[in-house]
Amino acid sequence: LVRINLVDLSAKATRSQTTTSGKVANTKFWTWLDSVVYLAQEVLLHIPNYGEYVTRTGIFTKTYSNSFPTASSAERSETVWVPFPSPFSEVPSVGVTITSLDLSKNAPGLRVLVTK
Amino acid sequence: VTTEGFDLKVIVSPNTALYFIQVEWIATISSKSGIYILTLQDDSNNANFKKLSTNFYTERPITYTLNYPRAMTNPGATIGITGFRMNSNNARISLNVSSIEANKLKVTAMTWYDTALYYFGATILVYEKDCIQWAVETLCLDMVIEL
Repeated sequence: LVRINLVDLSAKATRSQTTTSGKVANTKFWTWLDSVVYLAQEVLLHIPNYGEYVTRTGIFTKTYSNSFPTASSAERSETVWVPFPSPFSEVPSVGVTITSLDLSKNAPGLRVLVTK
Repeated sequence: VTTEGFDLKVIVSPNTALYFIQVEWIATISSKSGIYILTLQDDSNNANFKKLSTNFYTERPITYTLNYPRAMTNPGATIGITGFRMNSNNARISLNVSSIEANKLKVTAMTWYDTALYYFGATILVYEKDCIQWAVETLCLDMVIEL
C-alpha cells in the first residue's frame, strides 16, 4: 500500500503513519502543542504485488549444427526450457509463434508447442 | 509451464532437416492482463481439412470458429503460425483472423496452387482493443478525525 496525503490539515504540527497487514491498512494521526486538526483525509493506493509483471514476451532462437538437422524418415523432437526474465506470481498462459526458420524444402514439416 | 519458465517442444517431420528456428513467446496472467491465448491446429485426418491437400490449382480455404474464455467489449486479435506440414512443392500457407465478434472469432487457413497442406497450427491472442490498463487499483479511505 502506498499512502498519499491528500488534504492539508489545518494545523501546524501533524504527523501520520500508515501500517499495513494483509488486506488491512491502519493510519495513525498525531498532532501536538497548540495545533488543532479539523480534517484529515488520505488516499490509500492499493497496488497488488507491487512491481509484479503480468505479461512478459521474449524470443527463443536456436541454430542446429549436426545432429538435429540430419534428415530422417522418422519424426524427431526436442524439448528446450525457456526461462522467464523473472518469475511470475502465478503460473501464466503461454503462447508461441514461429517468426523465422530455415529448413529443407523437401516435404517440410515443423511444429512448436508449449508442453502442458 | 511454471512461474519460472516453460518447456518448448520442437517437432520436425520425417525427412525434414531443420537448421534454424526462431520463436517469439508471450506469457501472461490473463485474469490480470485481459490477454487471452487461444490455440488451433488441424490436419488431414479431418475430412474437411483434407481438401487442402487435394483439388490443386485453386485457392483452398477452411474456416474455424473459436470462442473466447469470456465475452469482450471491443476485442482485437492477432495470429501466428506454430506449425505446418506440406508436400515438396512451393510452401504456401495463409492464416488470417477473418472476423471478430464479442464472444468469438473466425480463423481462415488457406493454401493454393499445387501445394498440399497436411497440417497447420496457430496461436491467437485476443485482447480488448480500447482497454486502459490501470497500473494500480485505487482504494480511497476518507476519514474525519475530531480531536
